[in-house]
Amino acid sequence: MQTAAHPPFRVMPTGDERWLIRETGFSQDREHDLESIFTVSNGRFGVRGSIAEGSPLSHPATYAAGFFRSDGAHGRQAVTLPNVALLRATADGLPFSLSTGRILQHERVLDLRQGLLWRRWVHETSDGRIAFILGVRGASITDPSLLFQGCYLECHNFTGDLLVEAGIERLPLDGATRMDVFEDREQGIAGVSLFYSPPGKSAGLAESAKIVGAAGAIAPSEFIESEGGFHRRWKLTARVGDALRFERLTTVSVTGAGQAPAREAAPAAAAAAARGFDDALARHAEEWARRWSRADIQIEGDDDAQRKLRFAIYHLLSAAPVDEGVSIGARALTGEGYRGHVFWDTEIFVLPFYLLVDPGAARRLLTFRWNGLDAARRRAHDLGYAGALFPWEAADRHTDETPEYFVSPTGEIVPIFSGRQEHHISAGVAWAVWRYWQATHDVDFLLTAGCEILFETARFWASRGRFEPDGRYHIAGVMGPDEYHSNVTDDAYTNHMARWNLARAAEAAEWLAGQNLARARDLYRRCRLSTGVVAEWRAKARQMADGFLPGNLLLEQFRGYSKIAGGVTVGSAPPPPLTGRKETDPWIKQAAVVLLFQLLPRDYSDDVVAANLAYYAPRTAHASSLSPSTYALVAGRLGERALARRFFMQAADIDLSSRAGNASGGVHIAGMGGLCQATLFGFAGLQTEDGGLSFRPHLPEGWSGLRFQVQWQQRRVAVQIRENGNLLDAELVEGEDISVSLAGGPTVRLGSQAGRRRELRPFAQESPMRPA
Amino acid sequence: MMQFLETNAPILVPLDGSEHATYALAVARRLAELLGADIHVVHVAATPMSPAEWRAKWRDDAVLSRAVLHVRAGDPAENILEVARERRCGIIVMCTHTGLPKPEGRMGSVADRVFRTAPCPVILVRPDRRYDDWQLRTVLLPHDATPASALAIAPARRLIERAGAKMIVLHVRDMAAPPPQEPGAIPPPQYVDQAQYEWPAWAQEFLDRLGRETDYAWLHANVRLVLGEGSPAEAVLRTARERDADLIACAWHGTLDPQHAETLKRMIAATPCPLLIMRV
Repeated sequence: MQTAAHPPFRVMPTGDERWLIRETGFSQDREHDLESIFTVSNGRFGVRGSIAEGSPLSHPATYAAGFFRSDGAHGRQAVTLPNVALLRATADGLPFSLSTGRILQHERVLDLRQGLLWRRWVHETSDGRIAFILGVRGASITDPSLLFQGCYLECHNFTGDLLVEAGIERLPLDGATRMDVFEDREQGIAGVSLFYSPPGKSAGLAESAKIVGAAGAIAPSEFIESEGGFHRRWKLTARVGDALRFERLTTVSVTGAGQAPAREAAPAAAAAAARGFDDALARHAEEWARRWSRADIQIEGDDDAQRKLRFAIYHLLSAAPVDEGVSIGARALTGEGYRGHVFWDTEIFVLPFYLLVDPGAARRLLTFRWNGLDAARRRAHDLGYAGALFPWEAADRHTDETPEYFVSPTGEIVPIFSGRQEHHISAGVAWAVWRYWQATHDVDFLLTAGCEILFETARFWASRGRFEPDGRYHIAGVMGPDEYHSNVTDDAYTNHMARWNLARAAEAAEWLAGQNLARARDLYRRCRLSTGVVAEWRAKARQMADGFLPGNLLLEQFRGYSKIAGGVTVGSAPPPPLTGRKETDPWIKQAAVVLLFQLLPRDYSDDVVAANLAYYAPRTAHASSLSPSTYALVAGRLGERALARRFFMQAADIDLSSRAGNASGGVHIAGMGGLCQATLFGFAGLQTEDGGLSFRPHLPEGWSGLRFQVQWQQRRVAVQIRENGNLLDAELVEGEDISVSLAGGPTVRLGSQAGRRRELRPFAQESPMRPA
Repeated sequence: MMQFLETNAPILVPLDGSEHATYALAVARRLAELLGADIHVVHVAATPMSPAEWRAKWRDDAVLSRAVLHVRAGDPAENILEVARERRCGIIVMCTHTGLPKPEGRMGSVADRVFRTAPCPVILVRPDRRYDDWQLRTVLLPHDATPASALAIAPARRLIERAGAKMIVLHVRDMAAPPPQEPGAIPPPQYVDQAQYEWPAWAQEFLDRLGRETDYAWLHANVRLVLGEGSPAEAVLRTARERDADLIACAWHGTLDPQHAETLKRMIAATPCPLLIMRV
């Protein structure tokens, strides 16, 4: 062999630190966390960023969106697919391994800009043989069934025998009931078929793997089938200065229930191999550049915040589903945490980001809920209610997967109330439907799915509460986002969202009644709508107990909370409890009342927001990863610049900090969505309205400007906020005219007549909004 | 630098001539059986007893049976440490104090100096009771969630494997103290989005990181993780009592900053069973 052409790959690592998450050296201390952080994913598959040759703490799993198996009494569990990145090398029998010999240089770099995970490694074996290694991997976003991995190895100071081994290897306890291995030597393809319970669930993985030296491709010399999968081995003779390149293109199929899914996946792997490794790499990087051009949020003046915000956007873009009918689990495709289940977080914290950069992904998320509407109807019915109650924890079957209890580390059996009482999820789904409709005017979706979700969730709320002698509509026996208090009455978050749900459903019903389309009329009939039904929804919304304490601006978190709300010492929030909290404890787990100001910003005046923020901030433990970003957003809205930045950084560090200690099961994708929302809706003060956008910037301490693009109602606007928020530069990049305003100043039009780009300055102090 | 519990290495028992000091011998003898080690007894005094005086004082042969006796004159702590180094002892087993009880259960000055600077792990035995029937069935390993603390698992494993004992790993969440800043520490999670997943995941990760120092299969088969809350020392003592621990095995960072020192002092003062201190 001779030295291969330089550079090692057609695409090489990004050089700008603001686009990089870097881990230098090697310590296994946080290996599981890092594997999650370094996951490459394309919305269909995710591959954890494990060390290719493995380490004692490696968990090199692959996950597929929406792919669950039965786990007996434990319900549905996301399938752990095999390790598709196993790669080992030895020189004259001595391994290139981080646990032997000497590490001369080692770093893993997540290249956010190009959607690639790089590994630079200079290693000396225990007898002094030094190799330079550059590894790269990605989950193709141009071909979502394709995963690719490359490795360049240069023999720095030795001549001898190299042994390279690569293959697909199952992980222990992966739940597969049967495995088949196949090899097509002629095509250079090998694969694994895995079968799961219940019958019909299967996955196929097929790979093309080859080693290329200066003289061309080198065929593997051995194929070894094992209980865990297969390995291929290449035995080579290398001389000082020789270089070789390992190229693997893996295709995965989980859609078919055929007898040999790996063979079905094989032609795609062969086709990708025919196009070439560099082609896959380059097209992937180009597509990432295109996505970033729409999704990037640039911060001026704070590089640390910039890098962390891009890390969040990277994972959000990576998680965006590409297939209809799948959603995003609490840890996306980066780990097995939360068993892959989907919670309210997806609609409330993740989906709003997609609305502004990739509305198609938002629609796919809502289609998942649409597919579960019948199951939600059955759930409501089984509990004695009308309409639809979405499951607190959803998997592929849309039944509620929430366990009844768990065993704590202290050995106590702890009951779980969320599945039984967190009914607010139904309003959350309705909220997301309405936001999608506002953002896209997607009539087809509204008529196919959206209206029915709105009506059925409204029906649920219309049956869930009751009028009491005070003439108000009350909802009892629920748990809000504050999971420290269960079985409460008139939880403010639940009631306000239910009220909103009822009112929007009534609005949608009236809109539907006004449509001339036959499809609309059919839907109106099918949904059993009438003016009486709509009047009932409006009445219950109007009379909903809203929790405003008499004589002040405070919203009582639930009936009676104000009586237990004293007795907290500011700054002494307790850590998350092991076994639940006393119901009389004043501490609130996470933003609940304050979350309303994020979701329904127009419904509350600034003085209401300020009063409640001041009241609830010292009582909130932020024991949920969802909480800090909401506080950052609301503090930003109020211009509390120091507080806003503190909460922003707290949210940004949830996965990246080594101290939070729980990224091992995957990243907190909802916290990442919250971080983006805090930036756009809180700091940029973005408010969306029909035909326009308004901004009321309050940049956090240390930030001098922001740049981003917003997609809204088939228009795309590039926004620059400069001079600490005193100058807005808006350019219509795509679509028809749109109106824009800054800080209550005059509304200007962007478009063909008025010019596509305008600079705006605040006109005057805006008038405060009053409660609805 | 981790001090390992070397098998076959001699076990050193300092005896000052008092009855109390001999209580440590019962523990040392059982450990010697388990580890296949010899017992070395060191006696240091201004005017040391002669072999004849030893025999006269302890007519009971059990005290000196199969033991090598080292008699030294001079400073007791210095000589104990010197013999430990010379004989490459694997463990020193000694009473926390002899003679009259010390205020607040404090250690005697000799034991205090030995445990701080010993070249090997030290087992401290309270002189409140005899240990003639001492068996090693349950080992309690307090763990502050840091990688340094996890280093104690491998030597503790050697002991419990030989004894056929079980191990309880106890992490105490101290509300009053900030979480450990050591990289790789795995204190209880700051965010518990859903308790039913977060707590089991944390426990799994805690054991996985501990397993890095030994092996996972053994760990999951033999170790039970327990989470306590409150003052670390009190939680350790309470757990030791409630679960009938026969040995508390502590990793000690070797520093006596106020927080660690108080915890260790309190444990030494009130331990209901022998206390093994391994410097990491």
